[in-house]
Amino acid sequence: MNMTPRLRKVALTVHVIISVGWLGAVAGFLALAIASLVSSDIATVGAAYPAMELTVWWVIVPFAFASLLTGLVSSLFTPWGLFRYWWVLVKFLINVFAVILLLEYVQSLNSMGDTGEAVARASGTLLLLLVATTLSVYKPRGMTRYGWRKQHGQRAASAVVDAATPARPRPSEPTPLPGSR
Amino acid sequence: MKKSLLQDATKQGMHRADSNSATRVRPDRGSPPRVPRWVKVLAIIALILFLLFMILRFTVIPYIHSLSGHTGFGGQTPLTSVIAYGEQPL
Repeated sequence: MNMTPRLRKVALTVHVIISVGWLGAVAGFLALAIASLVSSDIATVGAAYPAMELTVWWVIVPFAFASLLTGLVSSLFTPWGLFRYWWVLVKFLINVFAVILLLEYVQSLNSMGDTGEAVARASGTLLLLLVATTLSVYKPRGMTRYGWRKQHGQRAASAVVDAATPARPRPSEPTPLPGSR
Repeated sequence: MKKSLLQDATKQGMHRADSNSATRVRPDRGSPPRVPRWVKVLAIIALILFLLFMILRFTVIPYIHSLSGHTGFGGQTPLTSVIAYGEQPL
């Protein structure tokens, strides 16, 4: 089942807004984590932790899941599909991996000890999200075997339908002008 | 004249459609497509980064921790730990 073009555009806009928001939130979190790691000012470090925790719970976690969900909707209900093109599949895997990294970190958030790990995880997630953004802009070519089989099946089916129906001029074909032949 | 105009318009239309398509799909040649080069490059980079991370996690970081008396940061208790747990004797 495919969405109408208007609905597809709405879904894509929501997905882009949420994904960019996730990227920005991770960048902000990384800044706070680095500040708390390198700062010798006890007030800065003391202020950074609640801010990091709030950012994780109220921005990063909801945005990560929303990005995964809107991405699934945008792929599954459009001709792109989830497993047909390599760039869509790689983006999906990146999204899932980033969510797993995030959930692992959230579980260890109460221990409040290792800021180095927070910096490493935030840097890794930021790198993954940058790769995903680049992929969605460039959309590098390449179809998976599954996508190829699907396309092949559709072509074969349409060829069978074409052969079964009587020949008539296609609407896109220009009709010959009267008296031109 | 009409025919050549029509052919030109058709060619332009085809060119426009081709340049507008986001992902160009190669014509069907009867065999399944191979994994694109960019996917292989990305997979190799991901594997290298993962191995690097594992090496750092299980060899270098514990070694640094053992050198600095399990506290890191050159033997000093990190400020974040001080805030979280209070100053503790080494």
